[in-house]
Amino acid sequence: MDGTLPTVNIGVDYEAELTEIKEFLEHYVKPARPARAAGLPRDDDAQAEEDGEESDADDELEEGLNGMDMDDDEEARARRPKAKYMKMFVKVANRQMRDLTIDLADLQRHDPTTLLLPHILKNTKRYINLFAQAIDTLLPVPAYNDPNLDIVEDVLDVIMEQRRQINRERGEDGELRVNGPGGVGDESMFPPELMRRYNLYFKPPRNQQALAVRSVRGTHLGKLITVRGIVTRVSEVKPLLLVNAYTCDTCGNEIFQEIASKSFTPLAECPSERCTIDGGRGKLHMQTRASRFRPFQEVRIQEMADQVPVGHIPRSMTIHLYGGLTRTVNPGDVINVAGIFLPTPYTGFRAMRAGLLQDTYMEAQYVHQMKKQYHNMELTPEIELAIRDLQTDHHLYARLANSIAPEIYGHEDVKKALLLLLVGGVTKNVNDGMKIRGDINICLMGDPGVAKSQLLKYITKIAPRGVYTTGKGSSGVGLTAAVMRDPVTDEMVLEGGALVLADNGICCIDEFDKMEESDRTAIHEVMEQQTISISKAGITTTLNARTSILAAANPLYGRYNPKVSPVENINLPAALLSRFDILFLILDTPSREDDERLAHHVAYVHMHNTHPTLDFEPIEPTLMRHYIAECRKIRPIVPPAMSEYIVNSYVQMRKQQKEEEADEKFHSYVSARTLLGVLRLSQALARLRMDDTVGQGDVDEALRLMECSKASLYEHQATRGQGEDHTPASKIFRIIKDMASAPRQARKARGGRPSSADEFDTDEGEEDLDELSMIDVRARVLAKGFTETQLMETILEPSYNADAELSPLLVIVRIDGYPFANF
Amino acid sequence: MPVPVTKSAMLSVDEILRTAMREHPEAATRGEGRRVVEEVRRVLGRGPMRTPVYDPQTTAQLSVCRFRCMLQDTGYPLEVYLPPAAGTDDGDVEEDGVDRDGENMDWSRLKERWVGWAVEVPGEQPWIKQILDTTPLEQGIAAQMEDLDLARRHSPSSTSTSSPTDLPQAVHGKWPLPGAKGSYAGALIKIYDPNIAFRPGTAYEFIGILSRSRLPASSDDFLPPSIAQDSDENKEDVLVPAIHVLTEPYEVYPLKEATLASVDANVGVSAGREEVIEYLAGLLPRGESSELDRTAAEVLLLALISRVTSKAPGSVPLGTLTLDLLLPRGSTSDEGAAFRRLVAGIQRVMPLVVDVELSLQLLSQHAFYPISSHVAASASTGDSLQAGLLQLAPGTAVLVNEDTLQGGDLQDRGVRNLKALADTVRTQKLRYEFPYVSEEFGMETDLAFVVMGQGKSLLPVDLHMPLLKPDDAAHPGPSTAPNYLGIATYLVHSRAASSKLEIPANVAEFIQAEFIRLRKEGHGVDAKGEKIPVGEADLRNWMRMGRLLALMYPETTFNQEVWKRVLELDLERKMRMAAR
Repeated sequence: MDGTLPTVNIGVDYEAELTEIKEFLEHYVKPARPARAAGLPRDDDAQAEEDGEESDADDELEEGLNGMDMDDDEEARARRPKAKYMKMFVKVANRQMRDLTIDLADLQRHDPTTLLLPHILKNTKRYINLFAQAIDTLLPVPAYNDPNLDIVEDVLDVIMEQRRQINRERGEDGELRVNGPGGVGDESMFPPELMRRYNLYFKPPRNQQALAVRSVRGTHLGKLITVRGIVTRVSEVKPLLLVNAYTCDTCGNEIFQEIASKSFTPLAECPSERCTIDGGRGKLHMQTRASRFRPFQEVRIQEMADQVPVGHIPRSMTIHLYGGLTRTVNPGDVINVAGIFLPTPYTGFRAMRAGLLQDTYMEAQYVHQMKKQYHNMELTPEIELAIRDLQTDHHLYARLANSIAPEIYGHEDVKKALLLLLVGGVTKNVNDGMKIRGDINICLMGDPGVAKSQLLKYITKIAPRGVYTTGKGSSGVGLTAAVMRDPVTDEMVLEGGALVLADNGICCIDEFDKMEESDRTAIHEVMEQQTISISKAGITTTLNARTSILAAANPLYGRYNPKVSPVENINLPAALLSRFDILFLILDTPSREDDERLAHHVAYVHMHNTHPTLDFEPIEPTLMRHYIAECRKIRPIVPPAMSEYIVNSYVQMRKQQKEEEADEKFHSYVSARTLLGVLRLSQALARLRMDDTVGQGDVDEALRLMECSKASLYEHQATRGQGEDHTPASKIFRIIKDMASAPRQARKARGGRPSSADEFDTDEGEEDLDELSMIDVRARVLAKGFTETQLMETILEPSYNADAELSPLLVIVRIDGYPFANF
Repeated sequence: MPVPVTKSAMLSVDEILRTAMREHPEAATRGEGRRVVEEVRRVLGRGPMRTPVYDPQTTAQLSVCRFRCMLQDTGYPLEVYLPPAAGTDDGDVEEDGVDRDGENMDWSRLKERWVGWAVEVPGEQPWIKQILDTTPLEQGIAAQMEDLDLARRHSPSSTSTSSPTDLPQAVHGKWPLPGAKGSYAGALIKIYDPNIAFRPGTAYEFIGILSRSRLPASSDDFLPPSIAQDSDENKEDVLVPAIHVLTEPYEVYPLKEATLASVDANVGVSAGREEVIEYLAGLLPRGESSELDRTAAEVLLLALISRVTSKAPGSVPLGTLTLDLLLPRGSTSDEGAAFRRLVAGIQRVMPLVVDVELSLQLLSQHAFYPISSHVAASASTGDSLQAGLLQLAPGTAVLVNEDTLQGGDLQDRGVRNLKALADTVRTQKLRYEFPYVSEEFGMETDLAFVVMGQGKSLLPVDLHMPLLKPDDAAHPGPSTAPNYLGIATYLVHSRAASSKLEIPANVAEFIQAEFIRLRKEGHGVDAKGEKIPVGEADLRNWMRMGRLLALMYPETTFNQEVWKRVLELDLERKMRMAAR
């Protein structure tokens, strides 16, 4: 690779540098643990700490590899050379190690004043060669005789041995001299590159900042830099020829050609002295066996989304990996890669066409894989500080809750519940394999246009793993999992649906009420057992779906009807309903105050091109995500006193339910699941405080939220007064509705009587709501014990007629031409 | 003779010329080099408007041209190049300044420049081309070129196979509109300023020297071996037009009033509002007794002058109005004639118009949003951003015909395309797909959407405007040709005025009071005598319409008069909706 060596004249005496390098390699001793703190410059301490640990770990590993006799043998240990790199060289010589990494932090520690480090960073390529030269002279003789080391002789050893043999046989008559001054038997005639059985890498000092791809500029050419990005593509690993070996069919010598660039012209004629002098024009044959190859891989990294300035598109960069670094990265990995930024001139034909353009690439020296947390969440010191800051906030609970979808006004309790959903309770695994879920499930029910969907979308955005789906668009199979035949391999494969994809996250299902009943049952298992069982196409398996469910639904008939009971409005089976820890009812009741606020808001946006400023400072979604992630690490316990308190409250609630049931006005079910719900909410609240025991306050708040969600049911009912939900009018309405939804039976009941002669357009798209004869309706209603007056009242009640969904009533009116004439 | 330095950040013209000539594939001789420099100086001296326009068929290599274009791909890394040694005189080609093998090159001399791929502005209409291309001296030639251009555009398939000026296959995917293959004008833009930055999808005019250059593409190593070998030969050969930019770029679209005025003094005369509405009404189906549909035309006018003036947080664009024109049901007889008439009419008065006939085939085969070809990995495309149908210059009117859509299965790609289209209509942000980058990543757009169809559009448009049921009688066209330029000027003028819009505080209060009143009383009374309920969505639409309507009044202020007119328009619209 000498061809790409940037020869910047920086006034450096390379001979002197070489001596310094040798000195460093020979004498650098890893600071021993106790002595270290005193001997190091202060600012380097933290870093040194880290280094020390890492190296120690390395050491132990090495120790393990070194074989039995070394282990625990203090004496042997004492005899071994202390110098870190000298130890490594022994291993290299003994073929136990191939990758030599020079940690530049060591260099700094060895001599903090050295100019070597900045020089290396500036002109890395050159120094790799210098280091290699230095190492070549320092490498000890391989311990062939050590029985513990199983050194296999490779091709090069064989060739060298042959040379030595020829040398011994022929004496020093010089006849066989080839290839310059060295002559046969002189090892220097082999290119040094061929003899190096190691790959040399530099590890940059740790304080080097990781750059974005776009900030790598021409000024970085030849320098050792660190770049952060995501791997988008990796090529196959290919052998890259470093030294090509030939044999001459005339003189029988091996000829070596060092290859510096990606393409080269093979030698054709033997350049050996003998052949040249004789004019024998010996033909050369390539010898793959004796050539030296190096694994080579090309990788592309792309800027991370946060490194791309607004309005720009991500850039990418080519990275070349050699030797041991190949196969260390995969597409999708986020890496910090340190390397030398280099230009490659176009070669051959391309160079003639492209003039003096240069492609640039980075030759990797060190790859640092970022830890993959929730969606690339890297805990930076700033965020850590901000989290500490948040913890001291006394109104944290309210502030965090308000920061959920800050542009949506009000709904404080709903937002608090959603916050707890994000935090979650503690999942408990009982010894016998039973599992008690900690994830909180919430159902939001409400009129259209009350921002339910926005809340859901926002939650998917801040949840570490959020999946958003709509009930209409997903079948039970789409939510859970499907068995598919892979089109390429023709094998059966399991494909995860939304619930499986949201494992350890939150699955938001919009339009929950629009789902097919059969599909909804698929969710039952997930909501309590947190698994999905599949038994299809010969595959029987259970997939994890440890997910919280946040569902949004419209009440029966689209809008909440205060005239019927909440249970009828909600229209979800009890089995499903009880699996939701909390159900909220959000209704759109027009009021002057709200309308004014809304109008003001819209006008403000158009006047000032921005939203009005909020009266509090919302917490950034990123910070919130981090804070929640921190909270989720805590597993609060419930002290005995608290559990007693909860049990008492539960008993109270059961009692209350019984009373309500007796009064025929119950709205929600209180079951053992409610008890667990209170527990989960309390735990989430304790987590939010970052406390590991649940306190009285947490339980009270959990109970309050439970109460609130119920109160939202009562509240809307209260406006109409108790017992309204069972007025004759609503009962009659239900009868008519039932008849309308079963038109065929109704028609049959009419005994084949032709339906009214009046022809009129029923509304398109509502074919299932057939016209009903007033006579049939009346007969049915009267049979149920209602009076005609009550029926009249029901039909005339404007709120029923207003809703398009209730068209059967409109139909009735129109059937009789002049409404209600025959009453 | 000293050559003026264009701007501190850019290199001097001399230096750029030297570099461009060194890199030109057919190396120029010493004499030729001098001639080129002289020529460049002469042309630059005449001013930008007199610089000949880039035409792939006629523009000679190493000559100065101007290229009005949309930047399609701005994601290439900076290009490193070796400028010829200083001190060589007047752009002479150095005989052998440096060793080509790169053995002894001084790497510190390397410099960087910005590279991007630009395409002719998609959907640019002939009339505006003529205005912007015409150099005062060369009217005739420009007209000729125009014809050439038109001929080429109209039969892309016939020319794409044979024409030698066609672009190589590697860049076929970089033209947003379907069907053109390599027959569009496109070039690499090289700017000698490493700190410059452009957004993709913006439209500029560049003046520079034409050359040819290799596409910045990734190495073959990423391709599967079989393909890599196949494409090896082609790869080496892929040379595309490149323009070395000599002067500061100039942003063309969205069209500024001054641009029109400066080109031709006759253009500046604007038509009146009534004239414009009458013209637009003429494009729409007429009602009974040949009555012009002025209401729909007025709403259409609002949609055409809409533009994104700003974006409120939560990515809701302000100042836009997307419109759905509802044809009467069951009018299958004209087979999309209504749509074609609308397109043809709007093309005469809007500078940038793209018509999209939605179909399953289009949705499943053509990308609607740009995709980095990592994703759409194929041998020929190399490593670059493929264009999508919606990657259009700001100010483009997108006319969508939904009636061409037939029932059928929408595959994965179709769903993504449709989602991208719907998102762009709703938020004016177009998704750009990059590997491992979230779906939210995208670029801001500024497009006016008008959808036409018999059913309510499946796109999330702001307004549904039912059109009148056409009578069958043939209508004679207007006796005098419409004042196309005047109407166009009016549209440009109104569009540009949106930055001057004012909503006084007292009007805002008035609107609040009105909304509360309307909420209580209803927007009006429908045919059945029931009050029309008013919701939040209504208020938002009224504000959108009002903003645009206000632009047509001289004081560009949203006042009570505007509000009243908005309510009238919307009531009429709602009545029609109810009557459907």
